[in-house]
Amino acid sequence: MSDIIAAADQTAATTLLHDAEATLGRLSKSGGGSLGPFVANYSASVSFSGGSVDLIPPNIIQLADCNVNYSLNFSFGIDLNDFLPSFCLPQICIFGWCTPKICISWPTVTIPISFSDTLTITGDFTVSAAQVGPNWIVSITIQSVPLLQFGAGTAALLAVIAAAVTAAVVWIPFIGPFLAGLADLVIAAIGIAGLTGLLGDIITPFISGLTFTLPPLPAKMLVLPAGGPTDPEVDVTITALGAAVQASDKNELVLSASIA
Amino acid sequence: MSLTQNFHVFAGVAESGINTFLKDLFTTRPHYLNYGSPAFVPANTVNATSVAAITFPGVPTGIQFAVSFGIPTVDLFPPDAGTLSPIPPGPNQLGLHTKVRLTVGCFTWNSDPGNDKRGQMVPIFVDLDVWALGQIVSHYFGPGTGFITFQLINVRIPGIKPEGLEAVIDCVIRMMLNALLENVQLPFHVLSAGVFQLILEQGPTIDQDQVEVWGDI
Repeated sequence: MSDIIAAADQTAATTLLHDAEATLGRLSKSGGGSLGPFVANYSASVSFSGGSVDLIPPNIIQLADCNVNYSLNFSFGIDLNDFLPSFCLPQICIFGWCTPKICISWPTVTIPISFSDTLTITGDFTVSAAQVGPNWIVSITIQSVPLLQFGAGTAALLAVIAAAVTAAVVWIPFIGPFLAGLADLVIAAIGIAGLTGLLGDIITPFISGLTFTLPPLPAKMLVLPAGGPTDPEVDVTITALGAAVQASDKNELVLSASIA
Repeated sequence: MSLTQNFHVFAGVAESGINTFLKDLFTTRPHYLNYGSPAFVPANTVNATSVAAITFPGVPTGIQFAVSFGIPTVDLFPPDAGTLSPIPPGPNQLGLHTKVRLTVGCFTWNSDPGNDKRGQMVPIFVDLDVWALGQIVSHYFGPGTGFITFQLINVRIPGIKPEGLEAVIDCVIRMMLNALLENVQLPFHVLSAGVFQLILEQGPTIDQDQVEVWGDI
């Protein structure tokens, strides 16, 4: 029999998980990826919120409809020559004097994009406890990467890219008649597949191995603080800690501790 | 039956956990167990608490004494099989067992004013087996804060005759034990192993050899 037992039902476990989401905070990373035919460099940050817990014995915590709130800052370069027709000023001769033939070479423009959206995931997590240094850590770790559904947010991102393309090239002379078509061409080149591919590459690492932790439990747990020269601090030592989902008339997350 | 029953969280400390806590507490702060008048304990230390001698007219040094308890162990309801306690715990009660050494400084002196020989003190002592019956008292101040402690309702020291003397000793020991047990404060955060801040809604109760509380977070 364990010395200490703490149990939480699904409602309380949901509260604990939301606390763990807040504790996890915002995760960040940067890198590069393929955006259709373009190469995009990005920095991304992700936080998690919401969701409900379903405790499934013997050891599964299913988290449903957890919000993955992500923010992206990325940029990609477009060589306009790939999209716009070549443009040459013809040679003009007047009284024996001729202008040279001038051909416009379109520049490569860099398109900066900032975008934030939320997607929801549902996944199975397992719970475990281990001593890490001076603390016991209860970890709730995802078992597999769920399907990431990029829905309405993806279409919105395409619109953001179209607007960014237009803004990036509006200063270029002679291009006015081509602006609308240029944006459409770039969007078509990227395509939904290219976009979801990049988003998947960015977001998946945040989900893979996703681990929420409950507040660390010091192995040397303070029971009574020091109260003066004759009253030293009183501690007990957690020598073992277990975590499991147990079934009865309602399923519970149960932590069992042995102390010395 | 689920541990949380009709509540959202449950926390329980088993008899073994309570006894581990008592051992750690009294090993760290043994002065809660050991008391003595200045002839035995000249000053307060972490090991012992100095108390005044019992004054009695004519006894030059007062009556010097010492009281030293062993680390108590608790037996939460239901009582342990084979317990020797004359007052085993009933539902929602705890039994407590310890030993106590009562020491008296047996002082002899010469009342002849012409005799300047100093008196002599010889300590004599008796070891007693103490059985007690008690209950849990909760001091809850808000989510995650507060503690539980013990309060004794009866003490028995078997084998003392006549019965009147046993009643006197039982009463004295009960007062001493209750006083020292006020220092035994087991915080709620230990009951929940520090995992959550308990909003106490029911308990503490004693059952199945553990102290149990229920509530929300």
